[in-house]
Amino acid sequence: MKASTRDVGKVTIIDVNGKITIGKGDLILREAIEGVLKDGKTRLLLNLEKVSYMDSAGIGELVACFKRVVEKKGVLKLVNPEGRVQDLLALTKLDEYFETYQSESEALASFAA
Amino acid sequence: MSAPLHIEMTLNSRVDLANLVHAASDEICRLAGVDEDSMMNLGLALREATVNAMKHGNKLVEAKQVHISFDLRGNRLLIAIQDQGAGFDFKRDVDPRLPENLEKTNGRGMFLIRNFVDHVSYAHEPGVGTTLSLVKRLPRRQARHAGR
Repeated sequence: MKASTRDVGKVTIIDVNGKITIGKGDLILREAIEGVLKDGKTRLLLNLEKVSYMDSAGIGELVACFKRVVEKKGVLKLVNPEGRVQDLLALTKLDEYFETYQSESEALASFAA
Repeated sequence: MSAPLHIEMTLNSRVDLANLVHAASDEICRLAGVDEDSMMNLGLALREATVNAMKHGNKLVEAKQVHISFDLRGNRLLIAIQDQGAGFDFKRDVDPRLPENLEKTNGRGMFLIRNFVDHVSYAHEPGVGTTLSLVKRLPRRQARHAGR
């Protein structure tokens, strides 16, 4: 699993690529979010387009990241959850918990609103 | 009809080894002619069960073992995951979809297991460990192709 960040206006997009699973993917996600928070960035968009798979540890880390961002008075939204990941979010009802968008432009516009 | 398939694995309690178990599950599903979706569901259930056994059963003591057996019989795959732990309250698992549980960062493993296999049972033998048994029915049409 890999994570990289880019800034679009006042929003920081975290592009995640690979599997968010226990022992590695979940830790990389945590470090990526902690890294941007440490830089004082709190308007975050997690791009899940290239995430092929998550397990319960990955799902848990997603929730933990969201709570961490909220603690810093920030916002974390999701964009582009695909197939399997979208199914897992729906199954666990986390699709109702996270603010989720199907396109980056739509997600970025939501920060401006 | 092809002969039943039996495979066993014994692992130390290292969560990274769940990838190995997942890969084995995928390969067994391919042998059985299982469709991609069922294969992914079973792989996730087995991954969760393996990590549970390592974390909650063996308390991540690396020297403690998790023993996994696969039995493919006709259109059913039976999987037993045995740890060396003191057991847990199998019936206590909560529904992570309830509003009060959505913000929890754990507690979804058993929920996913129950969703992705057809039957789950639990047995604890004092001094030996805990066995979680999973049964996955393979689609009838694909089961006829098993062993080809």
